[in-house]
Amino acid sequence: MSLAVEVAVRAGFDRVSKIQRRIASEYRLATMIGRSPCTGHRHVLLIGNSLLYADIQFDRLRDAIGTECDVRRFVIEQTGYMDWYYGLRRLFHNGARPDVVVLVLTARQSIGSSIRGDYSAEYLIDKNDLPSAVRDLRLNPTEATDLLFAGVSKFWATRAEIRNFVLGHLMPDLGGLMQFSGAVNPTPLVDDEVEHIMYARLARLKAISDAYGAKLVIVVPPIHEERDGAAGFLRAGSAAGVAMVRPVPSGSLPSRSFLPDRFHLSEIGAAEFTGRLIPLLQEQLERRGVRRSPATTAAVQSSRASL
Amino acid sequence: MFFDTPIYILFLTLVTLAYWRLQWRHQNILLLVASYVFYGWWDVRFLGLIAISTVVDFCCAKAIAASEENHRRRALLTLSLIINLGFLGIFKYFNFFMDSFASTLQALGFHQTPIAVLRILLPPGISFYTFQEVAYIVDVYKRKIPPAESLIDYALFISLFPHLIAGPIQRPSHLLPQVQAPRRFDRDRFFDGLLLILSGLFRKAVVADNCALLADAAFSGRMGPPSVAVVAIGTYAFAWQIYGDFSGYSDIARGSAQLLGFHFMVNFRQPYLATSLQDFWRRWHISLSTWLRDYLYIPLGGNRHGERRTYRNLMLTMLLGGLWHGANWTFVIWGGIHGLGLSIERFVRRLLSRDEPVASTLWSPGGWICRVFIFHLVCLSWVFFRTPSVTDALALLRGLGTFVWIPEYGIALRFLAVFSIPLFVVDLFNEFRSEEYLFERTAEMRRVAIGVCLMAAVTLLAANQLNAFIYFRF
Repeated sequence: MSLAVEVAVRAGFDRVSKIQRRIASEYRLATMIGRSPCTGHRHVLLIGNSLLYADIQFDRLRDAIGTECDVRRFVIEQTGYMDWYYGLRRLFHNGARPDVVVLVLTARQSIGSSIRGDYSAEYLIDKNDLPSAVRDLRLNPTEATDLLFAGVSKFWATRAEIRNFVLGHLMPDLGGLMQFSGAVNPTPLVDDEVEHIMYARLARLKAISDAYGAKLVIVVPPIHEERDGAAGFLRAGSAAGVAMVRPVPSGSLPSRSFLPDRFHLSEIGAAEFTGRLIPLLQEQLERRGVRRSPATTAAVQSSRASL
Repeated sequence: MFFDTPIYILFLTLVTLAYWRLQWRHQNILLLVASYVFYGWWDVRFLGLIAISTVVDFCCAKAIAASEENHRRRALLTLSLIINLGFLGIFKYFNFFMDSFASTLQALGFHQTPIAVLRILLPPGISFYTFQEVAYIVDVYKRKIPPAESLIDYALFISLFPHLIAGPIQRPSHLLPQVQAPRRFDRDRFFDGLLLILSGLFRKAVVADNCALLADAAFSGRMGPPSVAVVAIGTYAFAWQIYGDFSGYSDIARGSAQLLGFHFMVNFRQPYLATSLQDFWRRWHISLSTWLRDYLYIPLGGNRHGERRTYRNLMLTMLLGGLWHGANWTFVIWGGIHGLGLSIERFVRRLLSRDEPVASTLWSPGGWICRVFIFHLVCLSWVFFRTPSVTDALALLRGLGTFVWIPEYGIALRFLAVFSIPLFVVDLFNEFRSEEYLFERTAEMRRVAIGVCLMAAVTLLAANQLNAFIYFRF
């Protein structure tokens, strides 16, 4: 029975669920980035959670950046720093070779020490990284074995999505309730504490990107509350040598720029935010100073040749 | 190791497969090792504690049984109780009493008094296995049962993994003889065990974990400021969460035990169909309520020394029962509400010259009025059980004076109905057919179909949260 469920989920879930289909497709494209032989292009990979999905008008951004850039996006909702630290490692390990990685996260999402859950094992945490993830996340043996099972079983990893998919069909208006009762932590962040935590974390993230010759850019999206720890986040970034982009400070947008959850931007807010982000991102792309090491260039060329 | 995780299913499968290939003595050794692995999965340091208390009780019980001198027997009983309850007191209640003492001093004007605080973890299941050890030593002292001859048998009785973390609290007279005698494989009981496990997973992963989403949102203020709607959504959701959670745990425990040839007592019998509080406590956490009755209420004098003493004993039993759940005044108030309710019920029954609550069928309208009333009284007590402090509970209850309605509350109530009504219907069915679990006396093929449906429901609707069972904390 369990085997049948596993086979059914592997065979069908990505096809029937719109969200799952989108994530699977974005993941596939993200792992392929930079491996295509069109050498004149710069490859830009945007990664992040629902804030990347809601706050940035991706098509507009892609068009504005220009045809000489291959811009791709990989969004997994409810993810934070730890997800993307391992997610980036997995993407590179699986062959992604972007020139620029743009990670969209708030300070609060960056200082957290948790992952999305078992789902992270499906697209973000590589099986080889599981032991270090267990140590990093300080998982107890039960949580650790759960994550291990999720790395093996697609059903176990995606069971929450299966439930959401079924419930979404049973109660189409459930999304409204979840958005209304979503957890937004109202506690203000202290900039110094954010800086203290994030310096090492950003340096760690940069080291991975550098190893594969990619430039790391962090985009800090605005939230409704003013004291979002972004100042500390920016300071940590500049100390660690990471390019930080904050187009709109938190608390500066009017309420109509936000969805009812007061967290994600509405269409009006997203238009404003994307408009301000584009020139800043273009500037970062122009400034892209990181050159590929000879070893990486060779690795990229050999992976291109094998395609 | 939580019951609703793949590692437990793997563990149980391997243990069961190996178990039925061994002879009885070796089965006990295997189960003891497996139970210690299960317990050590949380933290190996806790193994020392359970091992020490097991050895102490085993030795004390043997010495008590061997002695004819009353004062020596009593001294040994006292020693055992001090050690067992001492461990429980230090690990569970020390900080609570020190905090309460500090607050009292502050209220009296003594500020900056240095108070010792222990930085210790609460060993899982300590409240449960301590009560089981106390029951054993008291029963041996009262010569109700002989002491266990084998340390392995006794250690297995205490630590048998299906009941170790959150019960059902097993009586020595029920479980120990099962440990001490060979078990035989019974295909039907094995199948019943599998169905019980599936039923438990449904109750926990589908009902409880989904209701928990609403309860957590309402109690944490994410559904808006307290109002009639928020209090109703939060308490109804929590009522079904805790019922699904704990009865689910008990079903999985009983089912797991049944796969190994053991029988555990029933812990829940349709509690939300109770027509009085006394009836509720005969249906809710039966293993605890009967333990409290036999080892606390009756030794305190029960109802044998007049009405006043009876009310005092009822209150004391429920207050201590509340405190057993956790080191917080909210649990004491929760127990107090039940104690007061039971006392009032008894008083009214005395006025009406009735010894027992009137039995009510499912068809009686009066019975349904009582059921609705008792359900809401229990829900009121759940507010204190769920909130982290008395102040929070009172703040939430003050919302009962405010009425606010937004469309999202309607969606929340529908969501709650989707997950609670199936459990309610199952309860009605079990009550009507007087069955321990769903379709107990139905043809095998139908039961297989039920098993498949339960599995499908768990597959499709289980909430993805590694939510520890609520009673694991106690």
